[in-house]
Amino acid sequence: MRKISYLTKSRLILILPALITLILIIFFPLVYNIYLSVLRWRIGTKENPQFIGIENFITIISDLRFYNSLSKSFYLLIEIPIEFAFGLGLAFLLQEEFRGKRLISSIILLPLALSDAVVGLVWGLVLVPTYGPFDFIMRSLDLWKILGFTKPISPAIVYPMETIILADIWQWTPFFFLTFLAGLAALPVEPIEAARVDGASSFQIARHITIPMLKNVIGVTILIRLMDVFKSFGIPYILTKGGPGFASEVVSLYIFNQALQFLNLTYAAALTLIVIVIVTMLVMAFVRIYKFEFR
Amino acid sequence: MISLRKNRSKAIVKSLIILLVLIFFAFPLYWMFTMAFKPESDWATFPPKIIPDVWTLYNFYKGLFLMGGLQGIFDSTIIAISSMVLSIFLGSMAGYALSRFRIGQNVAFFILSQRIAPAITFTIPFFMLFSNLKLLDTHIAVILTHLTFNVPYATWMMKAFFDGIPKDIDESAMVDGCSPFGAFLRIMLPISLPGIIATAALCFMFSWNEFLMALFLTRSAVKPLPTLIPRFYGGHDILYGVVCAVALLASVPPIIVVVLFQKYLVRGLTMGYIKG
Repeated sequence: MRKISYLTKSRLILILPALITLILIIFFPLVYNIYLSVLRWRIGTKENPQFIGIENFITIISDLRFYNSLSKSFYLLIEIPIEFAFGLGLAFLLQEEFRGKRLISSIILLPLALSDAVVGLVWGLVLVPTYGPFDFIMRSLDLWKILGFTKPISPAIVYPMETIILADIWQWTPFFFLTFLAGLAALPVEPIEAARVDGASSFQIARHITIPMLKNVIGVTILIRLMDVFKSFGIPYILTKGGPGFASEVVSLYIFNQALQFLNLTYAAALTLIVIVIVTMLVMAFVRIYKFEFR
Repeated sequence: MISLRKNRSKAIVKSLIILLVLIFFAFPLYWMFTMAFKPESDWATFPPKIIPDVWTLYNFYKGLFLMGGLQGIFDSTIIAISSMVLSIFLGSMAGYALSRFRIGQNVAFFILSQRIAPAITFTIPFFMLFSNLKLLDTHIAVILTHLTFNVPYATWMMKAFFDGIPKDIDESAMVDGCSPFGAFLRIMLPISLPGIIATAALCFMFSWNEFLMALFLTRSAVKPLPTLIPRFYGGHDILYGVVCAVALLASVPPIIVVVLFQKYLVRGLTMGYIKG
């Protein structure tokens, strides 16, 4: 009997510190956000917090700038299929062993190491009009005219969302490439060999054998990107600042502006709750539609 | 003969595609790298100087000593290392508990839910808390807020590593009279040392690179490296070379992590779901 209680105590020592921290770290912010969302409380003023019930949520219903930012975040989702296709293609291309493979994949993985802020900066510099290398190539090959522009444009101003998507693709295709390469390496060789002996083409093998066997890897990778796309902040913040106007103000950027620019933290808290609900629903819908085994 | 030629042309096409891919991924970094070494007169020229003819270290001098880069490196190092140590300490214990004791899948999903919420969800409450405690613009504020993603992350990663170690090992230690805590400390930790090091490296990288929370919670006393970038970039006259020098310095540690820990990167970025 004493032995058991000693064991229990010893287990508690292991569990408690971590559990308490996890609860503080995850529960406290969520609960505090819910608490804030029912208040009117502008920081920096002497005004006391005032209970206003669901007024913040009623304001959200008619907040056009919020709908705008949501639509921008949803628009970002189109980058996922592009990253998927590009990453899968790269993984197939670099599947076999050859000299220099490690060096090549290391170079492809570099963007994954960078801070969002650095990625935004790098693409800002590459795409800057007149002095940037992108504009130089477009002018040298006369591509602006071929594409139907009368004069050179600044991509970050004329196509802000597409510019953000380009930077995202640059940073996150390596992630898809990495997981697919690992997935391919873990596959059994027999079914593929058998299909090849039976005369199937590489494309048929990929379409009917390899990709179905990668189903779980593909699902997890897309799921992680799905959650992260709605968190996108650093790249738009540096690259376009949400502009011109609100043309690239994604959801995280809008909430950030509500909180720090307008010091409207309680409204920002209400907004984050709505975003959590939306992303959770999307994730659950994806898990259900995709039907992958969640271990 | 025909098939040989076909194979050859196939190999050429393949090499060409790989070359284009490499240019796409490497050129923007190359551009940042060379810009960091260009003198001010070469920052904005037409045509742009793809290969710089004059190289200088002045941008690094200016970025480090006149624009706060050195302080940024100091702040980022303190924040990333503290956050890493705390997350590994807490995460390995929680991960062991999740892996061996029946706490259930609910806790696991609960940890995963952290990834769903936008970073700002965790920033606002801590901002309020720290503003009441007069701790805004300190290292502690950023370190504690970074724990919101690093502790769940380390827990999840360590759980995956512990799951890979047969239960017999620590159970037999407990039969021999070790307490669960003792078995964890003396047996499990040493066995999973490679996993701990890989997790620590990735925690360090996440904290080092984190932008939103650092930007939100600091102003002038503490300036983590990523927050320096919008200070130099986006105003009227952009200090191209200086901002690139600082960004380059900020990118060196995470690039080392990615290259050294490539083997663990798949696990690391998918929270252990996909084994590399």
